[in-house]
Amino acid sequence: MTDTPERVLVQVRDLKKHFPIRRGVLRRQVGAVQAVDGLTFDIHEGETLGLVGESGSGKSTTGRALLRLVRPTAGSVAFDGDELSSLGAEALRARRREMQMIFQDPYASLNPRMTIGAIVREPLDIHEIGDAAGRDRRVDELLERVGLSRAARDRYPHEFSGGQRQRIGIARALSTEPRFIVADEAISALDVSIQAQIVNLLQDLADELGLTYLFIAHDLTMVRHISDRVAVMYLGRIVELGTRDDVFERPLHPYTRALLDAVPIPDPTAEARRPPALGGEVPSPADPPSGCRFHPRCPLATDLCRTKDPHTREAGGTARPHRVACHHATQPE
Amino acid sequence: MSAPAESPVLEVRGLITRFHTDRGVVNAVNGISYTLAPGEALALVGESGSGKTVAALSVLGLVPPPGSVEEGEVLLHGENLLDLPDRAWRDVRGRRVAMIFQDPLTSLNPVLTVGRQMTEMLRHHLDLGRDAAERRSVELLERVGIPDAARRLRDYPHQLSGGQRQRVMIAMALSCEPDVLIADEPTTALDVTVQAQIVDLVKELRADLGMAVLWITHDLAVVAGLVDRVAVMYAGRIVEIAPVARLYASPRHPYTRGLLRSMPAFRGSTGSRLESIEGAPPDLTLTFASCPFAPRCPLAEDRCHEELPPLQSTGAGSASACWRWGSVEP
Repeated sequence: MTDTPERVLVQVRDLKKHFPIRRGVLRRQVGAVQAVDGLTFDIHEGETLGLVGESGSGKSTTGRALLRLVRPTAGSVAFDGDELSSLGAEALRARRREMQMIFQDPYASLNPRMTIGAIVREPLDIHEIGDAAGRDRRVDELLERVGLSRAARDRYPHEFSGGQRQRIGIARALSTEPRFIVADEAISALDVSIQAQIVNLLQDLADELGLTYLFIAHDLTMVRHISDRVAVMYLGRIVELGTRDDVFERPLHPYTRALLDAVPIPDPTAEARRPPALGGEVPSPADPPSGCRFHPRCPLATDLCRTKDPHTREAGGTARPHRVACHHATQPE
Repeated sequence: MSAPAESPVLEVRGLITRFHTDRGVVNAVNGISYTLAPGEALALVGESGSGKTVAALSVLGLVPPPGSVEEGEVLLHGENLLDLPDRAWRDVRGRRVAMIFQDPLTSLNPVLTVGRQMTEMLRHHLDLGRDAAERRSVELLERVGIPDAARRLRDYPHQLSGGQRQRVMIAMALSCEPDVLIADEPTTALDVTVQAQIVDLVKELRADLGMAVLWITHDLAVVAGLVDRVAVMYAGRIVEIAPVARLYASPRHPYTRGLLRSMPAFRGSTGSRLESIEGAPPDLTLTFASCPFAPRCPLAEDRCHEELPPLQSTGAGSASACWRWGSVEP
């Protein structure tokens, strides 16, 4: 969207989130689900970073940890230079205005007993932004901006279709004039023809308001369309990160390649050439494989991969660094 | 449409299925007709509320109340299933026409092991003894690519992954070597690499066993490499049906074109904006005297708002329900 965003808005260093597994009468901890296990990356002001991965990859937990909707086990998240874990309650609340989330299921995230006007207005009330008349004006502006009529104000969520509900969720997220929005599978539950409407709206808003997005999705086609850079997660780790073109056109990690090969294409000729699917399934994040976590499914795996966890290294990159965590990743063919 | 060379294994004629609900009559399926040749794979593609799932359930007499099939015929080898007494249905379902669903957990019994469920079904349908049924179960699980099959028989459904559960459902569906497999969004809940595995498996099994496949989906991409023909549904009707290559290369209905255009390209350049279809699908409690897609259609003219277009041949085994099909650009 913007040409070369330079300023780091969100800085993530060695972020971990482990969920304890407890058993027995004493609820003793017997293990941990390593949902997110050591992530380091930056999100630049004005860019859209796509975060892709399959179930158990930790992509949703990552989004929540960035907004401190879950408390990280270790590591740091800094927003515009402020380390979030060191902020007091009041300062964190002020920062929260600038960071919002759009959820997958707009219906589950909208209170069915509140009118649309009250839902969109609520964050303004909580953060005490403007006076009563100002808040009402702002609600009207927001509804209009996301393509809903002012008449929507006095109606309830069940009166709207899935696509319209997602517009309401977006209006609510925009109400506090955030700079950073985490969109967690924001279009996955919508029909194809409606997905395009919502993606176009998100892109228009980014252009107009200079928003920064973390766009979390399992649909690689849509991620390719909307993202400036893309991070690929597997079992709690980022295995590859680079510009959209580097990751999609010149993938380095064998998992990224398998993931891209698996994407169905609406073209029978292209489908006939699709290579056979990667075997196996994602192992449990409670008991990740030794060494490289992808080695049991990897066509390139050697003894080294079974024993030694690969470091993330820079492997070229056209406009920005292209990072990969693999012992064997070579330059693309 | 050109008649298939062989007589069809399944022929649906003028199917109408309605739901009588508190808020009125929902016209879920509004008179659809299609044929399925032996060994052929046909996709029924549509968005939510298009009637695709009800159309599939209607074939097997599984429409839940307050819905029912009110008109039409479902001919399996020429015999109208809708005339069958309830007892005879049991012989059709599972044995001659099998179905797999989006969520296998709702079709598997959570308190019985996989082995118990498979062997009971085999003994019932194929009249096998206990040992023979167990041996056959292991063979079937191996056939669908489940490693360590004999041990998996002792597992309960929740102990398997989503992909493995779908493989178990496919194994059970294949056990009686049905003439027709109906697959209702079987890969929608799966991760993309596992989806690719299941699609590969169904392709391979279809080639080996020569069964016909009716694949229900919202995703035009998934079926592009899987089926011979595609039927696109909108508001309970088939609005376009065509051989797979032709449908993607030159759609003859503005809705099909819109669906294809609203998906971003996965290869080549990335456009800055997606072409979306404005508006939303219609309320199915309405009945249509004009084209149901007209309010969203960029090509709509007066006639489209006045007369309901019938599904008419556009040549080469294709048909479109659009007055302006000749003006649809690829």
